[in-house]
Amino acid sequence: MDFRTIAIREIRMGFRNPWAYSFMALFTAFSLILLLINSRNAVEGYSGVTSAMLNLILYLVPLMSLLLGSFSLTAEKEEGSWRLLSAYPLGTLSFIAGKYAGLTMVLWVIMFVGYGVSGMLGAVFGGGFAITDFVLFVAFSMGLSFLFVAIAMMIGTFARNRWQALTISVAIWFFAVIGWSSLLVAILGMVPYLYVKSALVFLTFLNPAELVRLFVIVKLGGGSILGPEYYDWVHWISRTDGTLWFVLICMLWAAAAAGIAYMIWERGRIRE
Amino acid sequence: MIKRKGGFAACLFLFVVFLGIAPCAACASPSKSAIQQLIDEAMPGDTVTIPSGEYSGAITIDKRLALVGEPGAVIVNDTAKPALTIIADGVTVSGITIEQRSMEESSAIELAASKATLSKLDIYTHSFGIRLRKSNRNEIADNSIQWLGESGQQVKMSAKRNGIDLYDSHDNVISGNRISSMNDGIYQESSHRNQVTGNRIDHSRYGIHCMYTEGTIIRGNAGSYNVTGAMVMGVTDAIVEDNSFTKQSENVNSQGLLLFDVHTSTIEGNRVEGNRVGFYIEQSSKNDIRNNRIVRNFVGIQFLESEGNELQANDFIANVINAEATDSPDNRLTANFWDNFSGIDANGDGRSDIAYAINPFFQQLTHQTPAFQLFFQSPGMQFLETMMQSDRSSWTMDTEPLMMPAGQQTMAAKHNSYTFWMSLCLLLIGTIIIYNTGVKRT
Repeated sequence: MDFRTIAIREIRMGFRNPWAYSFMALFTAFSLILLLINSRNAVEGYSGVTSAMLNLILYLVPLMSLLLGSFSLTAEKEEGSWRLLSAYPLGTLSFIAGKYAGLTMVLWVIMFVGYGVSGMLGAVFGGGFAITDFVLFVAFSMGLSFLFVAIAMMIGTFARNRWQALTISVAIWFFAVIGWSSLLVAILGMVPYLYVKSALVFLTFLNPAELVRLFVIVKLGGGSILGPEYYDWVHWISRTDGTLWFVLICMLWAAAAAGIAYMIWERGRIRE
Repeated sequence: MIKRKGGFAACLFLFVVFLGIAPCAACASPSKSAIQQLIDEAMPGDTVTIPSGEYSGAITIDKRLALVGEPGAVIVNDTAKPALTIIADGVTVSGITIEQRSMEESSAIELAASKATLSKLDIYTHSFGIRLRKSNRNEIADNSIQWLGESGQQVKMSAKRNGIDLYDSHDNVISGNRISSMNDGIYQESSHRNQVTGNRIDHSRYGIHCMYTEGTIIRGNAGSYNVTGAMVMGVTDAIVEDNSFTKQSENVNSQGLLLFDVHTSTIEGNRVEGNRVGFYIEQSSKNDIRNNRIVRNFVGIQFLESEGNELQANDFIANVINAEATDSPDNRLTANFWDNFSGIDANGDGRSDIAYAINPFFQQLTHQTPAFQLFFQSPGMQFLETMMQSDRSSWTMDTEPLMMPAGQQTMAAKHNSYTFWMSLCLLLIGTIIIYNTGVKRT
């Protein structure tokens, strides 16, 4: 048993889980609704439609990733399948990495179906996405779920059962997506004015939702709205090597989060 | 006696013949200042035709002439003086290509007289295009003005000069010109009652720039990819109508139309699309803004310290934020269409019974701390805005917003076939994976 087996097992379990289908329905329905509301306007560049779509993704994708991801890990503990698995010569790293890869795949498939349906209907009935923006949105959602599944692995490691996982997931989702700007406006109000911008940039790197959102805005051509303060950043991201750096940062992020999950999981295994 | 008369007639005949063949002499051997020689020899009121060929510059027109170029007539000027200086009234120049190569502060055409007509000129310049100084009632039509640059060479915007530059020049008509890659396309300072119509300006700093002018008319112009489409500043009684300003979004200071210190002017029937800010209105009052289409901008309209403006029957569609307003009391907003607002129309007059209010929170926040602009339309900021509802009565609001757009919805639905096939692929991949893992029994 190795990484591949665990990953395939994870995808199997994922699609026998009714949660996956309810999220799939939710995601498809909402993206369709947004397209219908804006069906009079072509979806191209940074505009009201793409901004609304971006925010919908920012609400839904992290929540989906956190819940499905953390539940999958706690279920292993609660249902005792981890105890069974650890009797086999299976490395913890293979286990965690396999779960991570499998879960990411499950989420990607959910989004493929959602985007597939809304993209096709949009293209048929008019008002659909321009191809470049469509590809950007799919890639963006894939990246976002990749990052949040990494966080979900951490939550699943810390939480003892599903209820704990649910509580932590929702709390993290709320702070990363909804409470983030309120939190920062409040905290940075106490920081000397000179340091506000650097603190803000630093903190943005800590929040994958915010990081990915800004990247997409710049790539949609909306970077100038961030104002002269971020001129260099925007210029940097809009270049090709900006994309590569962004991918690298996301990789580091995921590796760090999944790495922490692995270390704690491994320590727990040794103690047993 | 008769003989002398005949001699006089012969002289006159010869003179006329000479005038007639003079241009042909030039065409035989295009020499330095050939055009200048023709001009010097011509009488006021004559038409001087310039045959095809390359001529060198620094030419002065000091009498009322028509200078007409045949196709292929080019004046190349390497001197620091303007290629063409016009100091006599009523001069007509048309159909010539002018290259002003010198980097010195100069212009391709310097107009220091009045009632001139400049038309169908192709101007390439390393300095100003057409410069008017104390020059009135001219007509500048259907010219093309471009920055003279080697391909691939990046020149700083501030190193460039203006396409058409007016100072203390009044009652001119500037129409149908095409200006590209200059500093300001059409710049007017302390110049009154000029008409700027049907010009196309792109890749410049400001398309049309008015400073301290009165009674300016800006009508039917198109600007795209400039930093700002039209910058109107220190102006009263201007008319800005039926222009289109699109895709001015790349610079952090980009706007479709910028009004600063503008009063009692009419802004009507313009289309601003895909700009960073559609209309940016600062310290301006008593303007009448109506029937404009504000589409797909990052911010539709932005008011700062402006009051007493009338905003009516404008359509705000698919902007990321439709409107921002701070310190702008007493603007009268009525019957505009805001696509992000769902009103209630109980009496069926097509107008909502509940008002559309513009939350000033974000603009105030970023005014204090510009770094927070990073939160532009983030989900969290929208959440925070909905909680900041106190003092709502002082917000700028549309008292009776329209239920349907005022203008025609012209945008045709686009069918994106690439998106269709891409979506189909995604759907297929998804279905296959789900079938093989979730449904099929192994």
